[in-house]
Amino acid sequence: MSNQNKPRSHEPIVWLLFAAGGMIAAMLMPALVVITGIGAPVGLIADGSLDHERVIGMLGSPAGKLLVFPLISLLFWHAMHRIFHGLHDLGIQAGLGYYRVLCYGFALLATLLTAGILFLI
Amino acid sequence: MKAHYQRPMGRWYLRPFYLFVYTLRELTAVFVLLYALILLSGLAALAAGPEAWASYRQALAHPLSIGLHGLILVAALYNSITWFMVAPKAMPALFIGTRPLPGLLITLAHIVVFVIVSVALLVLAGAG
Amino acid sequence: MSDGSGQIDILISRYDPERDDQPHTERFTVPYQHDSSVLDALLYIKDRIDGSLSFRWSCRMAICGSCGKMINGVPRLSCKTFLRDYAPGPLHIEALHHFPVIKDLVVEQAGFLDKLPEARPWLIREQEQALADGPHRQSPRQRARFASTSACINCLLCYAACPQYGMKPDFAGPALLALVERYNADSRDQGRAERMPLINAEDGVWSCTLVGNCSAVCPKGVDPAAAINRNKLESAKDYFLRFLKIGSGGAE
Repeated sequence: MSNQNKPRSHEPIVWLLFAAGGMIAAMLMPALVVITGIGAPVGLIADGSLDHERVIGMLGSPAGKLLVFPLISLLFWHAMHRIFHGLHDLGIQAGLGYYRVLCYGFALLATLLTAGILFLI
Repeated sequence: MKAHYQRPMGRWYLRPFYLFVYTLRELTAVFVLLYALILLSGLAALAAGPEAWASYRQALAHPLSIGLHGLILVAALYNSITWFMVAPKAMPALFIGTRPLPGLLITLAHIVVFVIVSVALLVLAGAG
Repeated sequence: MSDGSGQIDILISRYDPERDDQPHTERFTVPYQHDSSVLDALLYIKDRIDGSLSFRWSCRMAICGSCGKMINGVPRLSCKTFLRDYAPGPLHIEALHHFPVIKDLVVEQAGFLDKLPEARPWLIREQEQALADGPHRQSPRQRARFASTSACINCLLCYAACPQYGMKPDFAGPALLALVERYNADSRDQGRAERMPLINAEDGVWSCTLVGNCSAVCPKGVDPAAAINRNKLESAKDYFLRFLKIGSGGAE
């Protein structure tokens, strides 16, 4: 009954990303949804501030990129971690390893895409 | 001696209400994913140029999109509340002398920060 | 809620391994008074109606941890649950969920008991102190660090409340991981490194999804969900800092 032969789980890697994304989602997402999804489209935001150049100037600055990259990528890690564990909760056992690669692979892909686009801006 | 009886798990994630509450929390991830995709496509539109950006903004102004964002907002608020409620369990234990710091205080502290940050973001955005 | 006495219908999930493939429900009507517990009702049935009814119990005062049952779908100590709160009934009693049922309300506890040694639930010292050197002294503040986790009575209600344990019986589970935290948080103990492999394992803290139900049903206020999730942070630190050799050291 030795503990020493229990293999170490690699879950900490994805759990830390999930937790960081969770804090971002919990603290910022409601306000951001109101701003980007409701306020801005309805026209509640000062005219002209959403013009292409203005937004590029804001998000394309080094500070803007530094804020946007973790925001978007960590939301993906948060969501995909929960979705993967949700599959387990639904009782899915066959192919769970495959779904693991699929879920976290998707989060990784979205992270790379975010970084790539920010690089282009 | 015959076999023991092992009760099947069935659809545990639906049936007792307190477990359905957990399931709803986990389901908010679908809306977080949707929102992350919307933000990422916005970023892509921004990179693609002024025309793509204009049509992205046009799509977001569609009533369906605004309705969807209303749903995302509800899910996000639910996620926030549940996140703050379990926060005291996920952080190192804090004590005042021999007394554990009440979890409710830690939850409230999170909510205070949340309100301040949200108001600040909304004011900043409103000012353009 | 009624405050007086009366009669209450109780539905009991019965299972006889010699005859049944799965449990069936039997109805009993028992008298109750203001201070009658669910355990009193079970004893009444066994003494006066059906002597073949099987269930575990001992102290009748919420300290032995043996009389846990599902009461209207919620794991509770039957000695600490009162019939008056369920009047006029009916009240449904089943064996604790997630454990194999041996007979009626008696479950096989091996899923917990067999794992108990993995928690190393005793004080571990790098070097034993000689008796002549006196006791290990501990301040009230140090004692407070494990006051709540040391209240566990191994009643297994938390296992019956945990869907992750239900789906994966290899999961160490709430009480076992709370026990790990109880010793790790003890200033006299130096065995953290020995317990880390259990915490770090897939079947350790990483099978928990923080449903939180274990803490909600605990009759002793242990909060296993907190004990487990705090150790996720510890395990994550251990995962990344082990290369710096400061992750899995002894006691603080």
